[in-house]
Amino acid sequence: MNLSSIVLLDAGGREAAAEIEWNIGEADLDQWQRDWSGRRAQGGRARSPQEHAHWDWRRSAHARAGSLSHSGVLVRCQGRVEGLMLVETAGHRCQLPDQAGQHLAYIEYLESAPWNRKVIQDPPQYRGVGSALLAAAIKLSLDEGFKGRFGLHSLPQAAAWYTHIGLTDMGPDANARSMHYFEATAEQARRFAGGLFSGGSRG
Amino acid sequence: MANQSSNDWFVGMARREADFAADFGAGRHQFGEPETEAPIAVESDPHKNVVFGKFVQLSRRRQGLSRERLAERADIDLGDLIEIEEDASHIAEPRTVYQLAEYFDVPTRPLLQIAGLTVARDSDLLEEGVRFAARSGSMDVLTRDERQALEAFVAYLEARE
Repeated sequence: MNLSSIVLLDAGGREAAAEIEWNIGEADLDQWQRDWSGRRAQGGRARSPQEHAHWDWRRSAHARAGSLSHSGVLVRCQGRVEGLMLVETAGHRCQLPDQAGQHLAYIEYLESAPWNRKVIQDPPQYRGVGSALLAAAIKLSLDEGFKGRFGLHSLPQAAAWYTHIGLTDMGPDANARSMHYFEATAEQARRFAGGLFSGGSRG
Repeated sequence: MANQSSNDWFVGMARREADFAADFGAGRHQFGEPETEAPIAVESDPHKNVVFGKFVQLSRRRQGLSRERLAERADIDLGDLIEIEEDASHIAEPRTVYQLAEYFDVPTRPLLQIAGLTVARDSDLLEEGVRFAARSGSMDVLTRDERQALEAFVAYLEARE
């Protein structure tokens, strides 16, 4: 399963064909900066510090997304970027006691477009973007020989979701502004992905 | 097009997201400066922290909670909570503000503004906050005036969203 063609659900519950792409191009970043920031800044609000951090991230992402240690992933639907992710596969190690010290895919950054986030737009335009990106992270982990293991620092409003889908909440990380660090074992990743990578459903 | 079994997986996950998730964001980059620990507050308007502290204190007291109990239930640091309520110059951790917004069921964005963590070009919000703070004292049980002030302020926050 190469995960190139996927399906999202639109606000009306209809299926929408979409793609996962394994590279973030300069044009995608331009589009992201234009569309996403326009949406965030609507209502005449000034840019928040978080948004400034996004511009910094954009620059660093472009430098890193093509490197050997980082993979940029995006979800596109009808030509538009619906979600972005940057995964790092060299610098981080597992923290869960059962797999401490082993390699994992660390999700350095994951974001759905503002119109797909219930906190900003309800109902969201497309659902399934976050899960599609996680599936992509698991695929990257499998491809690296990390058996699906992955980790991430969750935004507070997303933490309940990561618990819900079976990741282990390792609590607030003092080195990451007390964001909770979540990690998935190979088994947890397999359970989340169901039959997506095994060719048959076992979960 | 995806094959049928993977198609089913994506549709199933999209439905679970619809039922459950508020958001999916991950990564410390979305939470301030990428690699540094510098505070992300950019304004130090003393009113704001008074307002945020009052808001937290009254919301807590309305539920009859001790600080310890609120910290436990909202999953926040007790020390941060004490400073929020008592020290007007204290800058709350972003995570704490998110957790409190969720626990008290008020919109996150205006609360972040009140807490001074995002830039607010929003003088109405500031004025409303000061009015709210001025109406609230510090007795143990909410007076009727305090309750009314808190309810009016929460309604105002919700209208900002």
